[in-house]
Amino acid sequence: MVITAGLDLGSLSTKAAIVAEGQLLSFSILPTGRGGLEVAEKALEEALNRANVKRKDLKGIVATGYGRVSVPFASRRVTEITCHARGAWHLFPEVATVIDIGGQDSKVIRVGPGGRVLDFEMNEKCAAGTGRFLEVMARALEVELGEMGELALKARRAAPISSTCTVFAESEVVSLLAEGRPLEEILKGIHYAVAERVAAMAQRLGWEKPVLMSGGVAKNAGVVRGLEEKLGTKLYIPPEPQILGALGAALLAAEEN
Amino acid sequence: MKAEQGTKKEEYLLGWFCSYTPLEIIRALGFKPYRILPPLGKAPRADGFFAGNLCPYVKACLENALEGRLPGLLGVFMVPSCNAMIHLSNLWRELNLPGPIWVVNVPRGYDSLAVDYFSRQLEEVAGQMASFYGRRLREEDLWQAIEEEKQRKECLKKFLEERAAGKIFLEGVQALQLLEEGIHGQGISLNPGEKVAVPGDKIRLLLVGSILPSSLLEMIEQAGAISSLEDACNGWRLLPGEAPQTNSPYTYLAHLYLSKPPCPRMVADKGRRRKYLRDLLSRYRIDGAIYHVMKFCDAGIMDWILVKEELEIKGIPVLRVEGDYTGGNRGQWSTRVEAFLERLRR
Amino acid sequence: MGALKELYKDLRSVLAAPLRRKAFSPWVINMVKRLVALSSHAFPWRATYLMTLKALDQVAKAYLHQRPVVWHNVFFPTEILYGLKVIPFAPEAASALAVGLGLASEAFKMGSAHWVATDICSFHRLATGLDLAGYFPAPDAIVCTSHLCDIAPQSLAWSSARYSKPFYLLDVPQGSNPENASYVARQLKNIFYSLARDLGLSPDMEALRVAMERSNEARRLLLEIKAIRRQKPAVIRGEEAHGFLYLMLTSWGADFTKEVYQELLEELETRRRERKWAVPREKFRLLWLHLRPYYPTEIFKILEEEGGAIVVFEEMHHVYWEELDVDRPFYSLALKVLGHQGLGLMERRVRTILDMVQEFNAQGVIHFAHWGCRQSTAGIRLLQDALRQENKAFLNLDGDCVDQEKYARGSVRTRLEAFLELLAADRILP
Repeated sequence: MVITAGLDLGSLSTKAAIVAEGQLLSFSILPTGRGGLEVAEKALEEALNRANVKRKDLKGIVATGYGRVSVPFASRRVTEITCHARGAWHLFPEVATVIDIGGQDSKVIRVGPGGRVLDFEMNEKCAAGTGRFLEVMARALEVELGEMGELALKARRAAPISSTCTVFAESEVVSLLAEGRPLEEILKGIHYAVAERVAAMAQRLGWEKPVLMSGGVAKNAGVVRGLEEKLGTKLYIPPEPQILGALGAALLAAEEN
Repeated sequence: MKAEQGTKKEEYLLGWFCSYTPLEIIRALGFKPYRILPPLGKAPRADGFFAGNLCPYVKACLENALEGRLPGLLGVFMVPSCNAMIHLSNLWRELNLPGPIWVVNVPRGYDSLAVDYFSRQLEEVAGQMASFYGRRLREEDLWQAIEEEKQRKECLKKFLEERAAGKIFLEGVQALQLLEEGIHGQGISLNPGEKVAVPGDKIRLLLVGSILPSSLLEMIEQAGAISSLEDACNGWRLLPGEAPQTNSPYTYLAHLYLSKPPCPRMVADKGRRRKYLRDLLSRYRIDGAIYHVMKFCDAGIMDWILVKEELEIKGIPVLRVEGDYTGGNRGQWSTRVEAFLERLRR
Repeated sequence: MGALKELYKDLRSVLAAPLRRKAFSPWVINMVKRLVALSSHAFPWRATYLMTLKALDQVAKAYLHQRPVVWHNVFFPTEILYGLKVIPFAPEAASALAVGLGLASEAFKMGSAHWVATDICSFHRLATGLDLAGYFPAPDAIVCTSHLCDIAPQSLAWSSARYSKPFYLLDVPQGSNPENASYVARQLKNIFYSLARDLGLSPDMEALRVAMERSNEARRLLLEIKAIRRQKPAVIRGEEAHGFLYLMLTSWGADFTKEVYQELLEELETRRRERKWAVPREKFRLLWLHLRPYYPTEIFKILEEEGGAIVVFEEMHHVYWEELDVDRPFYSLALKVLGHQGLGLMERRVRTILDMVQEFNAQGVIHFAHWGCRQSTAGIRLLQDALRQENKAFLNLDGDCVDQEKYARGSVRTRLEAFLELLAADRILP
């Protein structure tokens, strides 16, 4: 039995996945903190423990993500673009587009047969269209990040947020509150703003359905709904949207063998 | 103060964007010019076609068209003054938005060579349009349209000049509204009783820059000042220049448009623009100025520097604000504008 | 590459004091020329070395004001200037050079202090800053075209006002037709004669003819170079070939242009014969659109060295005009100007690039989306769609050619690696 591991070292969280014969055995998610080798090791250990697998049993380890260069024990380093595409195809073979919205970046990937990447676009510069935007707003509105999405769904209308920049949107949101706009409507507007940015990126790339959504923000029902509305299509969301990259990496590691 | 109602009839609309568009030709062909000035707002669909750092007004135009919010247009007139407009026309064509697209190359300077070229361009496009739409365009039709437009614009000019001289007290937003309606064919009637002078203690501002959003003008007025004069594409840049007597109506139009209040695109001779501004500043009382720079507008970004220089020479304080055509700048602008006005009051 | 870095270091130390004092004496200039002349080993191609020497010579003449200096933008037909025997100076090209000399930071700050917004193309933001900081040789006149680049005429018009020197705009309409060609030709003629009058020179039609002939010779050689570069595998890496764009953008009509091209052609032919390929294993062939960063980056290392993906041709090297008719100088130069593929309908540029992809057997295209360059980037969606239809890989790489602070190592590496992975997968799967 070929057992492999995938490590996705993101700027906010580090994920590890253990795969055997195309099946996900276990995974782990740790905050990256100062990052580097230490966190990668820890994440891997945790996942191995959960799978009851020893390090020496691994036939290969592929590292991906921002911090992939700091994993010397990886047999290969592959970008998160390729890993996400591969992971998505594994879970959903008809997938044509992957939309990944993480804490600090977002990406759209067009996927072809075999899970290969046809085209991609990334945004790591602008906070609008990433989880960061939600985080900033949650703080400004004193709402729990985990509750925002559900609250947003309650509103019938979305308060329009015209600022394109996170910094200015924040003050706009505060003004909306002062004007007496209901919190839910503002929240809906915020979620729509994120969805809009990502949808625009997807449009620029020329997305096709079916679409799979991954990343931490895929757990936010408000953004999911907003994206579905903007794109006019249902999004497929895997049970563990954050580990798609690590999963893809582990699968790629198995392919080498 | 009101705009007279135009007569209701079947209207064939032709869209236009730039103040250098020869409306007389459109009218002479029997069309009604329709200025494409989309409402303020984000442009999410347009963002799918244009990269981030491009003129927000152009993006809004694309957005508006993609949303199907344009009235039935039988064509659009485009002047390729800048990359944003050029690429808008490319996309407009590709996406099969209302067309056909009539492109007129407007020279960037005003000399005999430019007049010669421009008049030929105008004659050519007029002929092509007449042929395409199956209309006859005789020179006398064009001369008539020229005469009518001249009268209309003279009326507007007089009104704007009196306003700038402080003889008419009117809100900036209203003034721009009237100007827009006036350009579209509705005359302006001025009731002598309505002619109220601007109170002497009101701060009178010059506004410069691209398409001025009404929100900025409202903000100024709420803060107790007034916009006296707008050097903008929805302001004085719509006024006519002066043309000598010529045999050809096309040559006449070439002179008329190339000599009109120059916008930053007329880069062959920035001296003319400086002279135009100096002229305005010496004729009218201007206490301060606000330059509204449209984001990513290369012409505007550099014109700001020129205008600032000219204002400094006259000792007139100026405030720079950035516009993104979304109307979401209120927060950013209000503090600056208020602080600026406080400074002027002192 | 190490020797080249050393050379730049030496240059910087020699120039440090004069640059600070803005005093370029003949002595300093000779020192610089000698330094470069002695460093022929630092250049992997003799042609690059030759070009550098010639360029330095020209720049030196400009600083020493041996003849009237005329500033121009990179799209202006310089045959006119060489025909007048003035010294052309291109602020945009100087910007690129200034990055290597470590002047960018100071110049950007200068620009900010004078209200030059960061939204504009950084080449011009840098050029303006360098000028304001006193690094440029004062112009006796400035010429500029209106096409492609919107900021060039605005920025150069401002410069002319500051120096109180004449400014001549070549107003270029969209579309190549006889009417437009005539308009542009008449303007070129006016510019030629006006410059002569302003600068106290006699307008010598024979000299213009010579400049045009030189331009034609250089053009023929460039086409031959293009033909060699079409062959597989590549003999010259994209990073090295890129440097020759300096000639493309500043030196049509100069005598040294054909010399450099001749040298390059011979070297290419020799290396072909000796089977000295650009990289040990050429895996992919790419086209490059627009320019590239002029500060050190890993871009070409990742692509060419690590990935075996050779940039086999640059869009900017495309010869978009017919041979000039020396009997009708102004008209044929007008046709040259109007012939640029970026002018007019986007289809023209798309068609040109698709043809190039075919010609060079390229699997992919990389467009370097230089910050503020709207002429190249605004319409990129149409190009992307067209390439997709032809099943060619496309990467739009956001970046800045001269502002090092905008360079995000990690994200550039990820994009390039992902692109390479994409290209590789194409090979494995049908």
